[in-house]
Amino acid sequence: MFTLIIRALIVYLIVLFVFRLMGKRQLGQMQPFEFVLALIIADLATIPMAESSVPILHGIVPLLTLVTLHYFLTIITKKSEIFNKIISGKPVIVINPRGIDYESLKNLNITIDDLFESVRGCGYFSLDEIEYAIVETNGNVNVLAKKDFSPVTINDISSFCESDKRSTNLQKIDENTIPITIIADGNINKNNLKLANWSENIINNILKITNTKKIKDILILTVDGNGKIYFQRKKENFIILNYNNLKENL
Amino acid sequence: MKKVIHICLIIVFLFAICLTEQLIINNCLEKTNNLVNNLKNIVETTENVNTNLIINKTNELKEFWTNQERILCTFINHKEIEDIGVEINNLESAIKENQRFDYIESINLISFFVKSYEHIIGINLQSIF
Repeated sequence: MFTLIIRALIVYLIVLFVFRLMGKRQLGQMQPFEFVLALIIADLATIPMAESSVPILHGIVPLLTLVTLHYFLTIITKKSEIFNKIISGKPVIVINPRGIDYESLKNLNITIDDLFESVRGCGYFSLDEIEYAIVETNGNVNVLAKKDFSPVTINDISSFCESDKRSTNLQKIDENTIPITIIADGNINKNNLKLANWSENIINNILKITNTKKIKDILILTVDGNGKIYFQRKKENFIILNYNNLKENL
Repeated sequence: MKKVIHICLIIVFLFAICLTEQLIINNCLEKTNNLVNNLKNIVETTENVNTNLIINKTNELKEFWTNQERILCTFINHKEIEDIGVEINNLESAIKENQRFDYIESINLISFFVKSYEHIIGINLQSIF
């Protein structure tokens, strides 16, 4: 019995170390490959803990192999967009301004009830309040509300005060749109580039304006339907640019 | 950077463990096989198995296996290697009863177990799938 206690302690410390190396994601935030890994790790850890005839190395070696594999998978998914899509999938829009996208729901194996449940979890009880709902790669559903139903921000109030002081109705100034990621971690997303109707010239122009030497230096570049560009270089603060101003410079 | 160092250390550890396992197990099984073959040759030339030579050689095998079993337990499932220990004990019983046929049978079984372990532990497609 004493052996089992020592074995349990050793295995616990190693599993703890493995999970620390994997990062701080919670179960709901895990990508599919991380979730699979967590399941296998849980199973592997119990074998040498409960069975004293199994050498403890039979649990430790696969655990460490898996954490190494996880590390390399994470690196590859960061570097390769295609691999990332294969391993983690991509976010899917299930509600758009036209309503529920039934085909997407079917492909994701999500029922209407599941969708309603997730949407209610986001604080929206009626579908007509929603502009977009996106099922993320980790299975979470995120909602972008229509302008009339989205919470008022300080920015909305200050814009209202400046633009229309006589009006008695407080309204959201801009249309709500989903920002499109053009560059993430130094890699251009070609599909999103097409989706945003952008050419490489625009990116080059942004590089010039922001004094950025290479695309690899960019951490994130997103653009929304109002032309607002969120730009951030690695290890630097973000800046907001306006696409309409850029067009004038082109 | 810290993570990279950890991963490098893990990879080194995994390689070291794999190499050590292969070296120790191969060495141990090879020596056991030699001792068993030696015993087999001696038994085939004699009528009785309770001679001093066979008793000494059997004790030598038992002592060697008991020492090696402790190391092998680190790498192999304890249940998988206990068969050889059981058969070595059967050798002693056969010596006491002077049962040559039983002795040869146990020797053959030990030889068979050693070969099958070599096959299981070695890197081959059958073991992977």
